[in-house]
Amino acid sequence: MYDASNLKKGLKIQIDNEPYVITGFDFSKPGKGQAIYKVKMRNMLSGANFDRSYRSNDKFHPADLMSKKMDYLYCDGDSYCFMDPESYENHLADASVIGDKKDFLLENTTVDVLFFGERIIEITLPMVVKLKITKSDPGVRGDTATNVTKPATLETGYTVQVPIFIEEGEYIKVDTRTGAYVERAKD
Amino acid sequence: MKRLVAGGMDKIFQITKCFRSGEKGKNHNVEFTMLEWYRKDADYFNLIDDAKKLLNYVCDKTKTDRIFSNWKILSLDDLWKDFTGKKLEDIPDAFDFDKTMVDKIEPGLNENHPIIITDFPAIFSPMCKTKNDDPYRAERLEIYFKNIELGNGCTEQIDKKIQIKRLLNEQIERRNMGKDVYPWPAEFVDSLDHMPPTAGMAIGIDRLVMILCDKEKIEDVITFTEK
Repeated sequence: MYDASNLKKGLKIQIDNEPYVITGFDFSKPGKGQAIYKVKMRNMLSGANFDRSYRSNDKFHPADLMSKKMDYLYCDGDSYCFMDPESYENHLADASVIGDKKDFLLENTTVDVLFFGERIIEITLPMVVKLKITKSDPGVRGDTATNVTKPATLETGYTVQVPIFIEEGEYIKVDTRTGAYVERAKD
Repeated sequence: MKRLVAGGMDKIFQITKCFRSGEKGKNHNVEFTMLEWYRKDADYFNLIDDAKKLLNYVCDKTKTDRIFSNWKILSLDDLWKDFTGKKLEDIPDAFDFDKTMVDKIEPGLNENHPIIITDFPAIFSPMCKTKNDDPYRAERLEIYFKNIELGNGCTEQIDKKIQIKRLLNEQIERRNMGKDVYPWPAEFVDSLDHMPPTAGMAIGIDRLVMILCDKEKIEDVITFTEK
C-alpha cells in the first residue's frame, strides 16, 4: 500500500480495478489548511488522463502489473500471439495494444510484455530491430550535394527512407521509437 | 511571538527558517524562510497597509518594477460563488474547503496584480478572531499574486475561552487520527490574559523571491533542496 505522500511520477497504482500510471504530482497546502496531493494520472487501459486531489491519509494499492520477456509468434488479424520461452505458454494481445508497433514486429522477435493480471496491456520493442527490404527501386543520385534518400518497403509492410546505396533484399536496422533508418545491418 | 506581544512589545517582526516535514511541491519546500510580524492595537485592515508598504519597499530596494500595485480586495464569499457556483456556507468539511481552494480558487487568481482575499470561514481559521457581526467568518486575509499564496494574516484570537476550546479540540482530533499530540501550550494560554488586541501576518520570503525573479518553482530560488 502507498500513502498519498509516497506517490511520484512513474508510479503505477490501482483504482477501481484499473491500473493508472502517475504522470504528474504536486504537493499543496493552503494557508492554515491541510496537505493536498494533486495527482495527474493516465489510465493504462483506456489511455485517458485524469487530475485528482488526495489527502495524506488516502491509501493506494500498487497496480497488479508484471513484465515478462516473450517471443512474438504470429498474428491472426485481431490478435497477436506471444509465447513465454520458459513455460511455452501462449498469450494473446489485442491488435489495439500493439498499434503501430506492428510495423517493427517480426515473428520470433523477443519483446517486453506488460501484463495487468492475465491481460497484456503493453509491449515494448527492442530499441533497434533488423528488417529485410522487400522492395526498393534503385536510386538516382542527381546533382545534389546533400544525402539523397529513397523509399524502401520492409518485410513488415512499413515504408522507410533509406540512403540510395541500400538495395532490395538487404537488411537494415530501424529505430523503433522514431521509425527511422539507422544503418545497414552487417550480416 | 504572540507571547512577546502579550508581554508588552507593541511592534515586532522576525525572519526565520521554518520546517515542515514531507512538504515538497511547486510552491512548498521542507525548509523555507518566513517573515512574520505582529502589531498591537491593530486589526487585519492595518496588516493590508503594512503589506502594501512593505512589498513596494522591497520592489524599490531590489530595483524591480512596482509589481505590487492595483491591489484588489475580494471577499472569499464572492470568489466562491464565481468559481464554484455554490455558497461558502455549504462547504461540507475542511478537506473539501482546502481542495476547492487549491483546485478551483487558486488557479482562477492568475492576474498580474496582488489580490487580497478576506473573511475566511472561522472554523477553518484557527488563531483568528471571529468577526463581531458574523460568527461564521474570521477577520483573516490572504495575499495572492499570480496563483501563489504569498501571505496570511489575521486579527488575533485573544479570547482565552475560545482558544482553550479550540486547542482541546485540536488535541482530540490529532489523537483520533493517530497523530502525535502536541504538549499543552500552557504559557501561551496564560499569556492571553494580558494580550492586547493584535494583528499578525506572515509572508513567505522564498515565494516573494519567486515572484520578484519570475520563477515557476520554489526550488529555483533555494540553493539546496531535498530531491
